[in-house]
Amino acid sequence: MNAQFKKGVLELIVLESVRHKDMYGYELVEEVSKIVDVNEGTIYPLLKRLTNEHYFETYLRESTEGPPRKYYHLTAAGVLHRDELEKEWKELSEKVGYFLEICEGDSG
Amino acid sequence: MSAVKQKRKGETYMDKKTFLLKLRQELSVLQEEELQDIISEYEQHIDMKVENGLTEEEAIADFGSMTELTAEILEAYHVRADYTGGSSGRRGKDFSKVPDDITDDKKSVELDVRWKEAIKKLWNAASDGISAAGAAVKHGVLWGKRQISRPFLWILRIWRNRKRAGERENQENLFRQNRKKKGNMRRHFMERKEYDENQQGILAAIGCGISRICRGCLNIALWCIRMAWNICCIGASLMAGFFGLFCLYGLGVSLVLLLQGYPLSGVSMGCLGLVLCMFSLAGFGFTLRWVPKGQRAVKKDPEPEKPISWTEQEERKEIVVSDGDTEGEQHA
Repeated sequence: MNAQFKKGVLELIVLESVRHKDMYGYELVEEVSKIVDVNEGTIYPLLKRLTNEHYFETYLRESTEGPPRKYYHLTAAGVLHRDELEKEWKELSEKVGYFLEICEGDSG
Repeated sequence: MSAVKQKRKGETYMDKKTFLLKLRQELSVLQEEELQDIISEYEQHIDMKVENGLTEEEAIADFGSMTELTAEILEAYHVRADYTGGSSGRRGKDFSKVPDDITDDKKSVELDVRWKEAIKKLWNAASDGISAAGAAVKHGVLWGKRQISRPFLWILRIWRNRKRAGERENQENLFRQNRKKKGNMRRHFMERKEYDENQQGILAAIGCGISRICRGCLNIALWCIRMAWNICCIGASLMAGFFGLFCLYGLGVSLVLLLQGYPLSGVSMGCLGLVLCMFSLAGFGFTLRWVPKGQRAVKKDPEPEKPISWTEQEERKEIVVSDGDTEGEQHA
């Protein structure tokens, strides 16, 4: 898939994943990887950015194995941001779909 | 995508330790705390990958190219990834430690040095400029303060002078009244000597009593008015103060919510304005209290009385003496 496509929707996917359940980094990477084949390194910077913009809150929780894990939690501002992104995404995909349909109709 | 990854694998084949060290050097612009945070995330990620059966090299290769990765991390902090003229500049900080950079040729090293010098110069110039600007602003603020306070100081001086003049006048009046009283007393004394059985003394006493009662009534009325006014003032300012405290509470709440990302900047600014307004109103209300003149004068500056009384007392004595003499002569 086009890397630019992925980059655009990655934020929405990450926000949506964390909305249902607080997650730690690796868990989130695996979750996102199920949906889009993404470079694993790029999710951490995204998480960092979203945390810096107050869409995420983080907290540490002990795990049975290894060091404590940093969990990400979606804030109210994050929920608002997610809704906005979803709306934008739907609009965009609708418009693009409509445009493609028209073009196909013309050629066919 | 996988083809690209394969190609990169050949270039950046390194173990966890090297990867983390390199990452640390690439991101050395960041604060130590943030750096530690990011590095621990990646370290944990690699550890988990290894637990799931991958080798360290494979896990690291999944991250893709180092430059892209660091560029993206820096982007998250709104730092320009090409700061210091590309990643080679950042890496140049202590490139001797990185095995990769041994392959760099001399030209790039020279370029590095040149870039670093240029940036250092620029940084120095910028910091000088900022400190100069800071000093200028400080100067400007001080000057502005002086300019603003000048008319107030002037008014204050005039007011003080007038007050002092008023006090002097009061004293002179008092002195004159005293003299008159003494003169009257003398006259009374003389008159009484002449018309001993006259009823004027009784009438004077009655008049004096009535005037005293009137003055007492007036004083009580004044006291009542003053009391009412003071209660109004203090009550109003206390109300303003309480409302200000309430606004302060609102400000705190809205600030906390604002920090959490709610769009409350307008509300919190409004609260701040209300807080300032209410507290200043409370202060203003307290200054409107009606304090009797005597108390205020005694409280504020009891000293100026001394020099005046010291110089004038002797004069008064002389005048009284001379007055008494002339009157005495007249009546005699």
